[in-house]
Amino acid sequence: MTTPRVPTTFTRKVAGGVKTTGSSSSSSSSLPTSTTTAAKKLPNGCKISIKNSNLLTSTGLSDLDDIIGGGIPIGSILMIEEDINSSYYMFLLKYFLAEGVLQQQGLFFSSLIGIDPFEILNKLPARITKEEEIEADKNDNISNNNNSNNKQPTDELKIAWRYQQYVSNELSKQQQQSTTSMNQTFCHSYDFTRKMNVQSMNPELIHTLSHDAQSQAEGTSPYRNLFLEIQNLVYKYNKEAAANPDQTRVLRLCIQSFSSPLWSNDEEGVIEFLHALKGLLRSSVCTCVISVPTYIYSSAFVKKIAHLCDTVVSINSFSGLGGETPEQFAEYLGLFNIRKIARLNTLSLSFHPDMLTYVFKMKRRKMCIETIHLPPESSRAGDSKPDSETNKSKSDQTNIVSKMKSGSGLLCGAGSGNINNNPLDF
Amino acid sequence: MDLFSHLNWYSGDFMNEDGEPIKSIPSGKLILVSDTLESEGSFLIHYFLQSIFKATSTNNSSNSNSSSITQQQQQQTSNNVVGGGGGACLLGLNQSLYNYFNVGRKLGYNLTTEHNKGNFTFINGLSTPYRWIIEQRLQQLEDQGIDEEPPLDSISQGFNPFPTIHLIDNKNISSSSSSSGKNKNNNNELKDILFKIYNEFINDHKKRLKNNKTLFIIDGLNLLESHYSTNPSGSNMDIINFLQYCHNYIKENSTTCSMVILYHSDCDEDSKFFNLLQYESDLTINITGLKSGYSKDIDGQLNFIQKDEKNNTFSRVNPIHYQALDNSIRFFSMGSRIQ
Repeated sequence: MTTPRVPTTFTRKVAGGVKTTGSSSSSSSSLPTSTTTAAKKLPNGCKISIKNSNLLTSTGLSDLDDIIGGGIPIGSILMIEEDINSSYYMFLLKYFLAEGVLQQQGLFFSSLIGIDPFEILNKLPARITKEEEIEADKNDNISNNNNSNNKQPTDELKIAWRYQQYVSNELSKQQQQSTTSMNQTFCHSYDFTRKMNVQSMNPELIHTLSHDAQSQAEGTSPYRNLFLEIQNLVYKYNKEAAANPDQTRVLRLCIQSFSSPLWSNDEEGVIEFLHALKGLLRSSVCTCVISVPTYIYSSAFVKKIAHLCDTVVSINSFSGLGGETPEQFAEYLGLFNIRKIARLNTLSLSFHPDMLTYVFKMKRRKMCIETIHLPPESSRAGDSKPDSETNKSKSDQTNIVSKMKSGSGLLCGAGSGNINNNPLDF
Repeated sequence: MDLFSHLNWYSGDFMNEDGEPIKSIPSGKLILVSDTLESEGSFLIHYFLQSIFKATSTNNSSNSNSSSITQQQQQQTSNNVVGGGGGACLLGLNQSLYNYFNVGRKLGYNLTTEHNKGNFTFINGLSTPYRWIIEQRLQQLEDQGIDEEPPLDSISQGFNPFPTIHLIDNKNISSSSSSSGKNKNNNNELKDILFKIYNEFINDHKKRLKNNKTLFIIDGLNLLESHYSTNPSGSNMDIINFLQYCHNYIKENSTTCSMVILYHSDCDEDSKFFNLLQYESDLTINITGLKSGYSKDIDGQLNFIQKDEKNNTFSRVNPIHYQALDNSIRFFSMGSRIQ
């Protein structure tokens, strides 16, 4: 009964053939690997990872997509460790939900600390197109510039200006990319100053679950009830996707403050639930994001949860941690860490990030996650202190005064950006 | 450099006719692979699977090529099948079969073919791993007035290129049994499951030819340890008993089977259970991240604690670094990683 040994390239084809002929072939992640699907339409808001051909969907925040390998693989669980004493993780959840609304995907939201789901869903950020964003940024800049000359376009290099053309090349490349992918956007931009129009949501695609004390009094673990709800929903979407493979709708599950002891003390139940959920999601068209208040628990229990999730990130604000903001990071709000990268259908990590620690800040409209850059040595020595001061003081008047006081205006003026004012500065 | 040569696992019996060593796990060993969140050890499971199936297939091909060589050499090659190839029985609690299958394709073996040859058995410990899931679903269907469970669609069924074994039997579960107490239920459930796993391992071993090697793999012992056991006393006696049974069985059949256990060592507040596992096993492979932090070029470090069976002492083997690539794993002696 031994089949003859075949070269590996051929084996691959056999495997694909088995999968396409077998009725039970299309688990979510097997969709992209069969050769025929190249021409087939992908589900809304999905793309195939170039590195490992997993099917990805966006988190709604392109910065986050980039650092976790392009997006969240369908069938996986992303865990967000919540920040202490602040709730920046909510921005990530809102991005995730808003992206689901715009991509016409199914949404499930449940808060385990008793927040009314619609309180969140009604306050999702509105979509903003690239042109609008540039326009709005310009307007902001103009109004800012009227008040202060301090604001400089960030693209301009302060040192090593010979490389300016590389920067502009990169920028134009990015813009080209964004225009070419306009018709099938993977990840939208959002504006947190405006709210998404509630009428634009399709109520049939929005599923919520709110928990009252009554439902918990039944004696069984509340996690089991939650699992049953989710299972029904997942089966429903799977069924629809299996019936019309061309109109596959991805379901996004989002659970806020999962494993919060306010909801249930059942720690065994947490692990059980995640194990079962992982098994359920692995053969489905769903993806799940949970935020976990990990600071409550011991690190051993947190690791237990993290081992069961596929991708784990954590967000922490400097102010929430209680300490002083480090001077070098004065313009940032906190740290963003990658704790675990998914190993989905791959031997190595699905994605090798350059680093695991990032910083984040809130711009007027959006959250940005950026790599850590220390300011150039000379400016750090001379300017770090006034820099942090200038960031605190809003008006330009005090800005200049503080500079004059510290005397850094005389030291080449590098770093703080008013180069244009003084032709002698370099 | 590879793991087996580093551990001096090549002996005279493990050579094929070219004098090349066959890369495989020696039999009669209980091997513990412990990992942490920073550096996961699942790659070693794939590596072991590859070592089994690659050896089998190369031996097969050398058999077919060697029709002209002498009887004696033929004899030798058939002996080598005993030494190198064999089968595996995998309990997958951590990942879906699709994952193992896909990685297998990248590493050059096909689990479906191996299963058809009778070399591979998969116990699915991930999809519906608990009795209560089925009970609840039945209960719900009953409430809705549906007697028979509707068949699942093709997506929900998942990836099943060949029949696999489920931890829980669907058949003899009725929704009524869910009313009994949770703790008591769970205790029995754990025992049932462990008993079932043990039986499946042994059946799988017996099914193979008496002189063919079998490797039992448990991917994710933590799930068994913590999830199913809600013992009021808080002890893991059931698991420990189970492991001792398995270990005894391996010792009895020390020429034909070994066992690999993957365990996350950073999940418990006290390391009692982990220490006990280390004490029980013949070889512990500790996988840790680099002390200097994350690196793109090296994934982590392997530390070894090997038991000497004669005088029951433990000795450390020099640690090595590793890097898991897309379709291969590279091992380096410490400090020898050069671009």
